[in-house]
Amino acid sequence: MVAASCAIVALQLSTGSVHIPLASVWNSLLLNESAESMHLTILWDSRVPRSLAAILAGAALSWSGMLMQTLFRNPLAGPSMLGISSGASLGVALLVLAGGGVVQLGGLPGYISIAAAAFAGAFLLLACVLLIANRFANESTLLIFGIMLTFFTSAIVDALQSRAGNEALRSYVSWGMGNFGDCNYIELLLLAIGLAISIALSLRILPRLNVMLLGERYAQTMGVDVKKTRTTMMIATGLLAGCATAFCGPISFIGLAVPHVSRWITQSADHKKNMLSTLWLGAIIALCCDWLSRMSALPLNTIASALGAPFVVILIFKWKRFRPLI
Amino acid sequence: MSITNQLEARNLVLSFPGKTLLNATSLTIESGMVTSLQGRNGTGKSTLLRCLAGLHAPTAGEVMLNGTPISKMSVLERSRFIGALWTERVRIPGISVQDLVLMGTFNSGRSSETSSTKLVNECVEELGISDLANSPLDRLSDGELQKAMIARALAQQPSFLLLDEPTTYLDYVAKEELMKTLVHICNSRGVGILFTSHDLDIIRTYTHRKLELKDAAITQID
Repeated sequence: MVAASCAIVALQLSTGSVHIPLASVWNSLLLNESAESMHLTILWDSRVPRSLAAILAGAALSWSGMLMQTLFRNPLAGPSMLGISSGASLGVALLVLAGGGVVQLGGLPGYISIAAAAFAGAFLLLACVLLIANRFANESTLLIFGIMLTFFTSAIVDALQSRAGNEALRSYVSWGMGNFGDCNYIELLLLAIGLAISIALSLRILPRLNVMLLGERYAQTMGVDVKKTRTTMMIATGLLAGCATAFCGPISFIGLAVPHVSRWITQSADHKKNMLSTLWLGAIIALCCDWLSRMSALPLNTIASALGAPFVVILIFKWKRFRPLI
Repeated sequence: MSITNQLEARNLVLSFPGKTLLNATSLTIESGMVTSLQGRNGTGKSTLLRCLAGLHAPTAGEVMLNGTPISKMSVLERSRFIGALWTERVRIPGISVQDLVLMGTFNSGRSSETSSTKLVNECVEELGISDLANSPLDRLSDGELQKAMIARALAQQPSFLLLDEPTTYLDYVAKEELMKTLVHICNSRGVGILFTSHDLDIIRTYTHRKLELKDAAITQID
């Protein structure tokens, strides 16, 4: 796995419209010098931040998928289930589509405005779900509420799209296709901070996550404060999915599929065994998808879904040992 | 000198709109005794168990654990006194029997992995499922799964076990095996056991005390 990770990072950094030899990549990264100055520019301005975005967002989406599947005890749950992704989409749609293509909040630059709108949308919807969760909902009610909220926000986004001008529509659709290539170093820092906070929160509740798999009634009689744990899980997921969606667009598939692949590799649903592998696999798979997306000039979401879905189907049918482990 | 623990329901009222399940009923469960609770479907046996476990707030009255209201105790504190088996079957393929029983030690906050493993092995052995320790839960028979779930509850090191229909879906041999194990746990560890059942044979053979829930009241049967 380490060798495969190194190989994909090397491939990501050296290949593209301009080929950079591995020796040059090495010198540029370690010594900040290269025979051709253009290589330095391409690496530091484009490929390095892009790769870091893929690593951070892939890890974030995968772990948020794992948390959602545990929270709902449902192998089909993903980061989009709580309406977080659609909340982010709604925020961006309101800014881009309702704003008639003007993507600026106050005096902020366009990219920060989009990220801020996505964050605001994601956390607004998360706040709604948290409110419901802490008042009356059990896990099934919460799941249905999250899905209904997703439908409702999608309806608003559809209405905005139907009335938007061409330029605004193009900006929104382009964000919606997902892209690791638009992140600058400030955004990467914010993404890394979001991931670090969520990992710290997850580590605090790690022993409780396994117990949560048995259901709320068992978890309570086994000493788990279900409401607190559920709230922590939702905040961690909101941060992970919110950050990744804000900076890289709504990326499908990775959050749903990677936790299953990780459990298949560890042959266990134990969160202690799966945390590192999920984060790692998420990063690697996102890097692979991004590399393929660049090579084929197809949108990231197209690659992730078109190649990822058949891959999981093949796993299920070809390897009998592969089955959802929750 | 052995310490006698008491789980007590005082003047418990349990009612829903249009239906009263319990009407100012009192009940005491003591350690070292196997108590059965029978009654027709829908009379409120499971709801009473959930009340005693602190998962369901009664309409009136109080559940006391060694003289302390259970509502004043934290979830973690309660789990150190009460282990439970509910009717949901948990068949998660990615969890082995050993993983499941290890989850039971969550409430002890054990810092040493060795002491947790030792406790898990003891519980698995006591339930006679050592050979299944590495089996995933979805590969167990109903009887084996019930034993694994009870071993998990035992790993909480509780004073009381509340078991909701533990013998349902089991064949007669498995029922007998399970009940013998429960009586052994009660005698060896001094755990107080309250279980609900419709199986009169099992109730007659394996319990120290028989209760019936009927017409919103609990009566003792001789």
